[in-house]
Amino acid sequence: MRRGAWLAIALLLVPGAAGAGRPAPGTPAAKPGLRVLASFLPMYVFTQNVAAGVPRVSVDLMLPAALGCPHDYALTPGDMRKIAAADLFIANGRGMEEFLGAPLLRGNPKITIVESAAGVVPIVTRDGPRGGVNPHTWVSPRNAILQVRAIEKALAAADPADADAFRRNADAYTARLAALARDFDAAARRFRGRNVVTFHNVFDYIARDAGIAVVGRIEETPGQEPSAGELHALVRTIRRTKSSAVFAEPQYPERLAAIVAREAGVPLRVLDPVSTGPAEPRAYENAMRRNLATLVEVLGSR
Amino acid sequence: MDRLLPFAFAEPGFMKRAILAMLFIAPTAAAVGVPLVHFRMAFFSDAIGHSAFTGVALGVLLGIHPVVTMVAFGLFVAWAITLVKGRTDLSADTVIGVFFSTVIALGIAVISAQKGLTRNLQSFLYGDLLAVSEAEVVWLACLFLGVGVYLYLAFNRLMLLGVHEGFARSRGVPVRALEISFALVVALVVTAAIRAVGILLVTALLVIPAAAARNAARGTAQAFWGAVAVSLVSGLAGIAASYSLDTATGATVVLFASAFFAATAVARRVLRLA
Amino acid sequence: MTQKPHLHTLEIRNLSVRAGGVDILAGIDADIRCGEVTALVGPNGAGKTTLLLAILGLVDYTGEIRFCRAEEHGRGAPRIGYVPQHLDFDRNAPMTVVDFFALSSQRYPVVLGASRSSRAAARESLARAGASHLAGRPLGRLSGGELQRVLLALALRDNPDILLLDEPVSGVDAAGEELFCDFLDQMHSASRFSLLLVSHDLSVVSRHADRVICLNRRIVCQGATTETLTPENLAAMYGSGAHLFSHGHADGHGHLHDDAPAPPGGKGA
Repeated sequence: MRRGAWLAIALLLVPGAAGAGRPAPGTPAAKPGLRVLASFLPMYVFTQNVAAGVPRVSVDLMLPAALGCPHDYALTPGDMRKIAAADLFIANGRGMEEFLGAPLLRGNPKITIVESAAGVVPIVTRDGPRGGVNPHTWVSPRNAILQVRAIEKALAAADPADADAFRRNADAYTARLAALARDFDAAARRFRGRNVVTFHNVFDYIARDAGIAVVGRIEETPGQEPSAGELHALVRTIRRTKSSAVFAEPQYPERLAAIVAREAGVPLRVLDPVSTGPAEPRAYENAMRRNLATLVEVLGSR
Repeated sequence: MDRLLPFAFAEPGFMKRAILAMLFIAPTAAAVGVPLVHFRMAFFSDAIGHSAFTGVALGVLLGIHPVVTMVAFGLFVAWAITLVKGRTDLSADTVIGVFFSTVIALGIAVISAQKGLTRNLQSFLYGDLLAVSEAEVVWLACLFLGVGVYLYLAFNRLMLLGVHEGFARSRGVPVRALEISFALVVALVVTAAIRAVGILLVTALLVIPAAAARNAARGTAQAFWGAVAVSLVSGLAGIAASYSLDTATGATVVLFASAFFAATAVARRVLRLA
Repeated sequence: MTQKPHLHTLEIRNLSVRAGGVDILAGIDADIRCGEVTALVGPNGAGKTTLLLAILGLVDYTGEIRFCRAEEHGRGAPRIGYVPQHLDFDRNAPMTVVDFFALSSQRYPVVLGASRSSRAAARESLARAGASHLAGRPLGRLSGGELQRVLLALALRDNPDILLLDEPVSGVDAAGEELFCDFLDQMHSASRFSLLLVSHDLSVVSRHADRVICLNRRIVCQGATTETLTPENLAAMYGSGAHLFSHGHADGHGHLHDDAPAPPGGKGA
């Protein structure tokens, strides 16, 4: 073959080589003390806050922070290694993590699984293929408080020596979360508009807290794009209910939300369910405060 | 736009844009599909379609607008396949097959190294007609005109080349230039058509109208205009039907075109039309 | 030797074609005289088709091919018509014969219709080739002989100075062959193109060609037909035991044909 053909093939392979330089996930070194593994970002943030400053406890995040909600997530070999090296697994529960039973135990039969949302009053979804409970419990500050307390209890049970430290941390954190909840309540009492459209059903709990009605969702099932007729029906619903806004999420492309908002003549804004983001202690509060500001801006203030 | 399209399903703005986009891209794809089928290049078109998947992945990886990388990569693969085909003894099938698999493997490797990329790809796999913007409608109109000009100039010689290369060459047809230019035009049309029906179905939009028309046509002119007609009717009917039936638009359009193909195939048999 | 005026002559000097490390043609020196029928004969693999392709400029060669112009034509390279031996194409393509003609002549695409001039030219050429009834037929439904006639009509439409025919009677039945040869004779006396005919069929060659070139990678012999097709030369090309039997007209080829015209007396002298 002539040079031109080899050049063509070589150019084809360069980007592949560029993407191939990732280091392989390593096995975490066995550490003494309590090894905690959090399922995805919000669980990690909560646990980080409760375990702050306790040297005997190490907290790790299983799902990469950029991945988002673990809907349909299947455990990878790297995950299994992390599970094998952990004592305590902090999950949301309520169906969020589908691998929570047998698959997890296969990685480590002795691991303790904590479903932090067990104490939350669930919103039952009547329709949709996952008829059951809406799993996005953490997106409400009130629920977050419950979940943080559940995590604190689990940590104290696993490491009684540090129970005081956990309690102090949890008190401080839940105090901030309570302030956040009060601010939400205060704002909610003064909302002028109460009807909104969201992208998925992630905001149902905060909507319940704040007295907002989610009149429609663009994707009832994540990943299932709506048809033209469904989009048009949504637009008509927005007009009929005089909804105030369409909310997109930063984890998903905006295009469908933008179409609906444009057609219905309502503003498009972004609400963040905190399933992705920086893995730092204040991540949840910061995101929720931004959400609050967005809601106030769009739903108005009497 | 209101005055152009007064039907109920065409009332929302996004539907009007979708319809206009389809009105431009469907006949363009069908027109290019006629010489494509003549050259038996359906597999080539499929390879370009799938290379778009990798083109998008590369764009997200490199931080460049994915549509730009999609088009650029598609053109590159078209050029590369044509070049390698001309220089080896391997059959076209084999060359395209190798590129096809390599390109997809590259795409998958890039995707798997970047978690969370998959959400952006859905619209490329299944088509994104409802999200088409006014600017894109204008681009599609320009493509429609550009391809029209190209075919006006090159159609005769393309068809002659498709009959017999040596014979065409003896009549002064510039074979290499035509092969490469046609491959590039196909790549452009394929990447544009992905917007309408997605990567998985893009070859269908090019091939099925041409194949359907061929069954019943007497003469090249009928084959060509028949393909254009089938694509337009399928496009509009598909959009309207997907609106009422809540189905994916791209797939519905292709199903209509397939129905036309079935009808003409049967008619050809039964009536011995051609 | 005929005394027809030389309008174009094709001169081939030291032509060689090499492909895949093998010499297909080596050191070919040949003359195609204008207005004459020259036959190119030789066994399989002798390079006959390759020589035609070289003249057409479709293969790379070393050496020279000169077209000598006459002042009255005052043009560059002459028009060369080509009728290939096989045309492998998609038989399901809906292209008709008229489409095919229009494709190779008119400017605007055939999907906008065949222009009046290309239609007229097609009708006329097909009529000359005795193929008028084939105008609307799809290419895929033509028999071997019919396709050949269409290709011939197409080649003649542009009034070529030189016409290259590759094995014109190979896929054709005996009646078709007669017709073809007679047709050629008529055409040839009417216009004055040079005809280079590749053929296996020495009976056709001996009856219709003025000159013959015997080719087997190299030139074995060339010259006037009757002088060149001697048993010695044939043995040198095809191996011993090859003889040329002359067929009387009454023999035909072993089947009936009515009122076939007598061949024009004694080609070549």
